[in-house]
Amino acid sequence: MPIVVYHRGWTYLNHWLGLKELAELEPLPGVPPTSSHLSALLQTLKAQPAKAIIRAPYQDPRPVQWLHARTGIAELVLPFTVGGNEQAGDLFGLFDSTLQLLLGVNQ
Amino acid sequence: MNLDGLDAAILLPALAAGALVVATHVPLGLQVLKRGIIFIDLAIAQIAGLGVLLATVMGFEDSGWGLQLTAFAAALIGALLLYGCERRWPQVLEAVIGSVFVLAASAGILLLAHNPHGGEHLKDLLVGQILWVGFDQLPPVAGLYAAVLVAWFTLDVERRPIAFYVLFALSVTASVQLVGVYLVFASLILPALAARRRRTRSRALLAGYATGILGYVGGLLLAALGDLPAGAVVVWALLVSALLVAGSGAWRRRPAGASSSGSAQSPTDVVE
Repeated sequence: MPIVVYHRGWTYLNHWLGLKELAELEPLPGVPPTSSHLSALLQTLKAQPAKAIIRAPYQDPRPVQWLHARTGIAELVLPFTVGGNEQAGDLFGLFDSTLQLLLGVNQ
Repeated sequence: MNLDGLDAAILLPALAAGALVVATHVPLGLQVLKRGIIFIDLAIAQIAGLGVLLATVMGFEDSGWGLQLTAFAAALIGALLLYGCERRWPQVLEAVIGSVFVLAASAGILLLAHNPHGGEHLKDLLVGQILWVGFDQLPPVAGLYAAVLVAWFTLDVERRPIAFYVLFALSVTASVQLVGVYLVFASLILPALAARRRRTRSRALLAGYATGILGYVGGLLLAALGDLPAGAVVVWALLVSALLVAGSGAWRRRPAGASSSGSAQSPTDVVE
């Protein structure tokens, strides 16, 4: 399943599930992306649409809203770690919730 | 050079946001400089940020009305508090403003001591990202700013400091969320510095607006061409345009004997 990520924080998950990371919103964590990066991002997604924009709960929702408004790709907030959402109370919950959310998008 | 960054769909909303911020912050900045309370925007922005954090802790949705109301309410309370200080302790007002800034910042850290979500919020508020602005966010801000400008130019803010504090709090709370504290500070202070020596209010406004627009247009273009973060480049572009505008003003004001081309003196300058 093709996805867009915030920055490269899901490498193990991608390897495990075969998620295809098409692009990053913010390639250098903490440095606001430049207009040419954003323009290239839009080009990439026009050629090859992603199924979801993956965001961790602590990351700023604005960039995802920005990309959603321009591409229509839905946001998907994954818990990222234990305690990241209501269901992710322990490690089992974390994986259950992550898989459930991803499967929900991949229908 | 990198022409890929010159994407109108990305740059135009940012430029529109910049023009809105300049429209209100130039007159506000002239007044801030006149009153000598430079750090008031940091204090108000921090208090508005504290309001946002409070809203997050209380469980309001991101970008919802509850969050905005809390931010504006917090900024207004802060502004009224500072107005009270100006009346009571005018000699130490700047010291009070500085203290309010660190107190609000520290209160934010205390609020977040048990909340993993808010730290990013605070950083985003400070650094901002002008490129995330979309046209859909601008109408409410434009409406607010139109009201602020009408109030600003009809009420006599020099004689009614409370109007200044209220309008300042409303404008800064909106602009900080749009472009971040660094750009808000630069948009307030650099055009006002460039316009400092202009002799009439309308000419100071004109010089300030020229500085602001030149800075945003030049900064966004340079950032796109140089593949650099837009907000930080615009801050520096505002400095360069402030120097240019201040320099052109100084050149026009030079004594008639300083150069042989005295006829270059603009006729309006002679009238005064």
